[in-house]
Amino acid sequence: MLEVRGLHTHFLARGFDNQVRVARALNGVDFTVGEREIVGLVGETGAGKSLTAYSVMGLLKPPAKVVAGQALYNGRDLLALSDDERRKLRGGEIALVVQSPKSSLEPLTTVSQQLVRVHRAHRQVDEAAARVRAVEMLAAVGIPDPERRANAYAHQLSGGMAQRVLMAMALINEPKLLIADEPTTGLDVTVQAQVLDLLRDLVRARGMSALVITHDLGIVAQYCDRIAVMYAGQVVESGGVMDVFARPSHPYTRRLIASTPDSLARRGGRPLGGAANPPNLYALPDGCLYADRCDHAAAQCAVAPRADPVAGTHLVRCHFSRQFALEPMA
Amino acid sequence: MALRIFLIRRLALFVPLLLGILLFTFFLVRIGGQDPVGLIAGPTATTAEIAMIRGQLGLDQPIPTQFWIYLGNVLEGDLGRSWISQKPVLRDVLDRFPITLELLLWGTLIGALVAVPVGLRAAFKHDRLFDIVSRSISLLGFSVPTYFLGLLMLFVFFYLLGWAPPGMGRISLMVTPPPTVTGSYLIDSLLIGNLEGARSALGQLVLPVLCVAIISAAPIAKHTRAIALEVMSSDYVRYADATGLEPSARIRIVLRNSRTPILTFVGTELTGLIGTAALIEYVFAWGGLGQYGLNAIIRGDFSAVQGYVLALALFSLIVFLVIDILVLLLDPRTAETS
Repeated sequence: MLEVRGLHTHFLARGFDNQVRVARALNGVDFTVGEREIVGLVGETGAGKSLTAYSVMGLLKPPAKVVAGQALYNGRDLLALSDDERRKLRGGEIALVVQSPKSSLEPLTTVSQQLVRVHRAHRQVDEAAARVRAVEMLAAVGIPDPERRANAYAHQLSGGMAQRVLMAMALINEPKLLIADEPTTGLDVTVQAQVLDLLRDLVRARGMSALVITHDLGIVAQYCDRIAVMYAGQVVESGGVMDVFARPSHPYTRRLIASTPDSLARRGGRPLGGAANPPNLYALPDGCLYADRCDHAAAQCAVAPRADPVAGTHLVRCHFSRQFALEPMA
Repeated sequence: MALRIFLIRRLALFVPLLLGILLFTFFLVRIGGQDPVGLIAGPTATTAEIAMIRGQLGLDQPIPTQFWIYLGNVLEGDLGRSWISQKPVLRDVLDRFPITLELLLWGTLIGALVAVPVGLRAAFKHDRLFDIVSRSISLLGFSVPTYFLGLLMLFVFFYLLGWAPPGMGRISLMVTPPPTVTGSYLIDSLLIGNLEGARSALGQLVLPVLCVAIISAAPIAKHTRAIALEVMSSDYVRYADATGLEPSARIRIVLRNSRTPILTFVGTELTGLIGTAALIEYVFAWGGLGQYGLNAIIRGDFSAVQGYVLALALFSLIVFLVIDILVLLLDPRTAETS
């Protein structure tokens, strides 16, 4: 469905000394989203999760630029398409749900006008039919009294309502792939669960695939089929959710899992050791990008590890992955 | 309904604002250190004569008492008498306001009609050639001093090229001015069908209006560009991009969301320009309110200065009120909430 291969995205900026400085934000991202699969993309802030999504959708603005890699959507490389071809896929076949729903709705246009606009940009329907469809979609995402809400403006909606409207906008053209970029950040915990349940049900019912970007491992465990863990612009570990949680085989994944509230509580709130700072994107090391934060770094780590399978489709980018796979978590 | 409540509330606000402005200018003028009595009495006046004039003008009273008397007079519509023109200040202000307004409104209108499209296009062509060129020209407009621009215009278009009439008032000396209806020679001439007068008035208008247009265009273009760029970097435009809207739909979103801040800025610019217009009026011997006020300030004509500042304040309040009403009418959400 979607296969991202060796995606490199850089930020190019010219400093006051007129030297071009390059921030290497994505350094070879590889993952796949299969047919009818929900994949969770996790990692800390700055790992490049959202940037990966925006790179794939062709939404980067200067100074960000994709410098290498492919994003194959049903065999077509999205990164090689013309602007116009890509625009037709966006919102039509590949839809995005973002993390700031209220500010992502246009303030001066009603909800239904925005839904109609998106629908008619991709499908040959008349105004009246599009409006009927818009109200149907609002009902489908669980908005009470959709006929009346259709005439609302963004400032009249709560955060949870606005997120549902965005979902209606994303789904109105029956896309094949949904990318949800931290869809529940900023929502109340109870609303978060409602929104995520809804998202999963809609994706399942329509036979869609989804990529869910989050920093919350709990969400991945509960809602996703597969997981891809990102660190410093690389996927360091990916595989089925069961496999990865049962046998986390990259030290970074292990630390992420050890940092979840449940796990911390089990160890009496004691965090794992190690350096706290993410790597400097302007001066990345040659070898393993995680080496300077890793408790297990050794001489081999000066050579960049490849993503190798530890079992089946469970891929890990670490020289010692097989050892970790056998070692149970503390 | 919402509009009426808004209007009542805004008009009620006028009262304390105008009172504050009266108080402020009254004391500002009096601590300015100018003594009009000496100027009026002349160099040969005796001490007794000076004291007599001071008494006549009421300037021998304590300042708070003077203010109470002044306030009472203003409420009765008496702004005092100008010592320069020897006419009631209200008469002077009413005579000269339309003259300045004609210059200002045409100038700002033409400036905005050019600058808003330029600013928008510059935003859409961000960092491309059009943007860079228009920004450089606008910088030039910013850096030219007002009076210098006026003099330069006269030098080039009157003296060198001979295309424009000399900067000697609002209508040629050879033409009889039309009877006053609106106060604009151009409109008043047209009203009585005097084409010769209209042509002459139009000719006199061109250069000073062009000056105001150039001076207003630079900031309007700059701010229009900034406003449109800010809208373009908003979450909702980014999201519109993510939903694959056509480029034309995207442009409509940007225009719809930048129009009210642009309109508000043009209004602010219009009120700010009335001070600048004074200098242009001087260069072109325009004889409007700006020139009147400037003269009054220089020569310590207390009542005239107060009348001038009051007129300016009232003008600003009315412009902002009109702009706010337009903004309200342009916002589709207004109908929804009422």
